[in-house]
Amino acid sequence: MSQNALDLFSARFGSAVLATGNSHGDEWARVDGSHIAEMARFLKQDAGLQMQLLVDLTCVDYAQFDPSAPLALDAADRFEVIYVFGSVTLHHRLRLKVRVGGGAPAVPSITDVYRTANWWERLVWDFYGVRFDGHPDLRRILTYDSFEGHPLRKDYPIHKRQPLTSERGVQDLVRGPGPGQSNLHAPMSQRPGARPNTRSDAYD
Amino acid sequence: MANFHLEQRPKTPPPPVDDALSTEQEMPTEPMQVNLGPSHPATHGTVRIVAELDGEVITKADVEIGYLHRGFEKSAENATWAQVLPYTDRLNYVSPLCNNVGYVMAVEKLLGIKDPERSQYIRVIASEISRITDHLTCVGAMGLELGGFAPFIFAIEARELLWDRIAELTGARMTTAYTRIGGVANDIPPGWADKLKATLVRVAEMREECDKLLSKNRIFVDRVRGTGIISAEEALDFGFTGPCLRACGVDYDVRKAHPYLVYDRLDFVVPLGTAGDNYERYLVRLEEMRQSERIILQALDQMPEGPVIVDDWRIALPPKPAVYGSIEGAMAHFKLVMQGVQVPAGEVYQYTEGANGELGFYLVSNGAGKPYRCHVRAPGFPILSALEHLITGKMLADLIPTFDSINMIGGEVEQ
Repeated sequence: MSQNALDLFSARFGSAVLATGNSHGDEWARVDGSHIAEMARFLKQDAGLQMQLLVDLTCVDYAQFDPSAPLALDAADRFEVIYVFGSVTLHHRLRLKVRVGGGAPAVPSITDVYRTANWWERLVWDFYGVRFDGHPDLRRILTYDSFEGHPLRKDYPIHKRQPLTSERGVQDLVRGPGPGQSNLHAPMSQRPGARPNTRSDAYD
Repeated sequence: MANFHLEQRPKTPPPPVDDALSTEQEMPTEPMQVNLGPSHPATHGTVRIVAELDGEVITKADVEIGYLHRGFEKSAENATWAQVLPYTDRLNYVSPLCNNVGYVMAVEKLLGIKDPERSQYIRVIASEISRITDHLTCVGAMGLELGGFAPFIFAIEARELLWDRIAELTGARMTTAYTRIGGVANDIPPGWADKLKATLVRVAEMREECDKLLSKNRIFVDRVRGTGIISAEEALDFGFTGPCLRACGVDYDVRKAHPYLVYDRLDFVVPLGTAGDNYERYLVRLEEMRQSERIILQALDQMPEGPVIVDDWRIALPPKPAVYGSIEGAMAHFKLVMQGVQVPAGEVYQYTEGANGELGFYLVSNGAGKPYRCHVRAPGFPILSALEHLITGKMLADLIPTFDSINMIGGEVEQ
C-alpha cells in the first residue's frame, strides 16, 4: 500500500536503512538512529512523500521477549523506538524503528522537525528512560518529578508502589507545621498506630 | 465650603482621559502566576495550567497532565487480549465504543481475520452513536462553560437518550466492552433499530435547539470566533487529527482516507472549516453529528442478516449450548478464558477515526495470550500538546473556549 514511499525512502538513505519489511500491510524500516532527524526532515519535505504528520512515537522494551521469536533484539539493543509518519495528501504511511540500548539509551530528538514530538518524546523518556538528545524540555510528563524508575520497563514490577507526592515542608495555618516537627503530614503507614505493611513490594 | 468661588479652583487642568492608560503602564507591575486546575469549575478534564499573566495576557503557560494516569499500557501488558477490552472503555469515556472497535480491529489485524459483515455494520452504528455522544458533550460543555446553561441541558438530555439505546445494546451506558475479537458480543435486540431511529429524531431536535441557542448567539460567538486560531501547517506540525484538523481546512478523515469496516459503502460528507478557530471547531462538530446520523440510518437499512461473530473457537467463545453440551465446547471455553486468544508474534499499528481524531493502537505480540506491548495513540494527546502554543500571547478569557473546543478527554490523554 505504501511500498512506493518505502522505496523512495530506502533509495535516499541507502546504508542507514538496516532492514525493511511489511508487517500486516504496514511498511516499516529499521534505521540507524543517529540519522533520525535528517530522515524525519526528508519525509516531511520531500515532494514525493509529503509526510506532514508524525502520527505516533512510542517505544517497546524487548528485555523479556522470547529470544527465538523473529522480533527479538540483541541484548545490547533493549529498546526499540517506533515512529509512525503519515501523509494527509497522499494517504500513505511509513513506520521507522530505531534500536537503542546500553546503560543510558538515547536517540536524537526530532522536535525541530515535528513539534508534536515534544510531548511524545517526554512520554517515552518518562516511561522507558530513553533520552532524546537535543530535546528542549525533557521532563517527565504523566508521572511526577520525584518518581523513581521508568514504569513501562519490563523490570518495573506492576505492583510497585511509590508515595504519590514528595512531602513539602509547608507551614500550614490550620494543621500546624510540616514534617519534621509533626508527623501529621507523614504517609499513613508511618504514623503512630499504623499497621505494619505486609506487602513486600510496597514502598520498596 | 460655602464660600467656594470659581477663582479658588485649582488652576491646573485635569489630566486628559487618555493618560489613564499611560499612568497605569508606569505603575510597577510584576507578572502574576495563575493556577488553573487540576480541578476547575470552568474546565472539564483534569489538567493543570500554570499561566503567567501580564495584565490579562498569558505570557507563558505550562500545561501539566498526568492527574488521571491509571497505567493503561502497563495493565494491558498484564492482561489477556480479551481482558484489555474493558480498559479501553475507560480511555475516552464519552465515546467508549469507538475505543472498543479500534482495539479489537488492531487485534484482528494481528490475527489476520475479519469479522462478519453484520458485525461490521453494528460496529459502524455503535461508533457513530458514540461519535454523536462525544460531540454532544463537547458542544454542550462548551456552551455551559461560556455561560449558557440551556444548551448543556439539551445536549446532555440527547446524550442520555442515546446512552439508553447503548445500554439496551451493550448492557452499560459508558463501560460498554461491547466488541469481541472477531465480532461483537451480541446481535442488536429485537425492535432496537426502530427505537434508535425514533431516538435519532428526538436527538436531532435537541441538537438543532443547541445550534439555535449557540451558533448565532452574540455572547457565544464573540468569545469563540477568532480565538484559539491555528493554521493548517501548524496543526499538522502538532499532529492534529479529527475535527480540530478539519476546522483548519485539511480534508483528512480516516474513514475516507483509509476506509475500514464498511465506511466505503456509506454516503457521508466530511465537513471542513477554513479559519481553524474555536468557532469552526464547534461548527465542524455540529455538522459531524448530522453526518453520523445519516451514516447510522444508511447502515441500519443496508445491514444484512447473518452471524455477528466469527465461528472459530480458538478466537471467539463457543455458544453456551456447545459449552455445556460438548467436551470440545467446554475445552475451547476453558482455554480461551484461562489462556486467552493465542495471537501470533508480530507487531501492528491499526488506526480508526475516533471522535477526536485518529485513534491508533500499536500492538506487539510474542505469540502468547497477553499483549507484549499495547500502546494507544490517543487523538487528544498531540492536540493538548499544542494548547500552550494556542493560548500563549492571548487573553486569559480565551483560554476557556480554546480548552473546550479541543475537547481534551483526560482518560485517553493520560491513559
